[in-house]
Amino acid sequence: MLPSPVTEPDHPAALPEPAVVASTPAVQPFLAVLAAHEVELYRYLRRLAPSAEDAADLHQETFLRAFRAYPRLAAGANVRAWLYRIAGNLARDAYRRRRARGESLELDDAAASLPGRAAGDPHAALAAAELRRRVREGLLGLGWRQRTAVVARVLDGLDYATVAALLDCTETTARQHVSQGLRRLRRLLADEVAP
Amino acid sequence: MTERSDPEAPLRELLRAGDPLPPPAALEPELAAALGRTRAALGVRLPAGRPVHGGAAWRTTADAARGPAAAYTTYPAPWGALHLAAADGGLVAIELRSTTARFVESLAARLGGAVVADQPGVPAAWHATLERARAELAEYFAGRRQRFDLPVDLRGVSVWDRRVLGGAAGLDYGEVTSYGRLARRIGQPRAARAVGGALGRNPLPIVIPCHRILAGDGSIGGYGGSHAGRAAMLEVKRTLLALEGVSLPAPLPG
Repeated sequence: MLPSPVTEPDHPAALPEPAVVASTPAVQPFLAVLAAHEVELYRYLRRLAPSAEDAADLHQETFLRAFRAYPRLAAGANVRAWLYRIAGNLARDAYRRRRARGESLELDDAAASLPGRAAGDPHAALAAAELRRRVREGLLGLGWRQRTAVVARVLDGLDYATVAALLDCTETTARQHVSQGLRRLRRLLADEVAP
Repeated sequence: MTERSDPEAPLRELLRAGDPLPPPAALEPELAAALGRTRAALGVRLPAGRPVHGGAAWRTTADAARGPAAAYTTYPAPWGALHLAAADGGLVAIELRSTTARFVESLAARLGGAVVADQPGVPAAWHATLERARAELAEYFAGRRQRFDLPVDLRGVSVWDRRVLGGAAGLDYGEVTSYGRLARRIGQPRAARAVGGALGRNPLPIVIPCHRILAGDGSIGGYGGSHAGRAAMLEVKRTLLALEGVSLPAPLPG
């Protein structure tokens, strides 16, 4: 095993103090990747995790894994698509672990605390939280390409050329990922959406 | 929107209504906390006032407040992924063969600000420039476009380099010249070598057609500076010239 310059994410207590200044030379080439994608990956994971806390854990693990695997990534590989795949798989695995522990009906931490979404009405707040949970689980049920495509196209409103660039595929294929993803989501959300 | 004919429109609406992403005001603080934790876990932190990568790829709090300097995307060129980036003035960089990390890092160093992926939140003008560039590249590679019609941002390019690149930009589709003739064309007949150097630093290959400049003897010359991957870069130059109907003698073996 190579000596790892990073702390294992399983032991958050052992994290280096924030004041620790970088770092091995090995981290340097990865900094550009981190800086270019850290924000969008958090937005992505926040949609797939039940809370800000879970999203932050997944974000950290995504970039730790990516950093370790980065030297073995083929030259010319699409780093961005690769990060989305890592992040999506980690989110799905975390979801399955929680479900296996019986925490199936988790509502998000913002369930009743989001002013504006359902001000003052606990029933509406709960219904909104329930819908968010269903959408999150629906997204987690997709393959990573379909998931990334649906999030980018439907939730972020990006055009197909951008979705294609994100997945490193043609626009035609990007459209197929979106429509297949939607078809799958229609089944997963069958009782919420009119036939 | 024109999704009225889309049978999945109600589903799209439902998904947007149930989007688990918190609104921006709620997202900002948790985003900042999460990014800080991830950076700490990687053992990286910017020492105050001493930026990494010439102040570029790593964002300080001040950088974050200022926002990124450019956004990039990729395009599937015949030989592999091509990276392109847009900034305030227009298209600011193209790299024909690069890794994302190398592209982002070198552009960030040139611009002195962060370079982010084209994503929601980047200025609409940058996104529009990237989309237009991708569309024009598609037409070019399909043989349906001979001139690019794009705003370009030549920040960080020296006066001499701009002069040479301006000369190169005057070459028509399929028209080739030599380093020496280009030097004469811009009024510096003895500067053929310096012309080659400037072309090697062209931040916008293809759009500024430095591939149309060949060696004085009609052989292919150089392409893309002097760094590693020279053979692969020459292959790209050959591909572009072939696309434009220019045939060259095959490279000598060895």
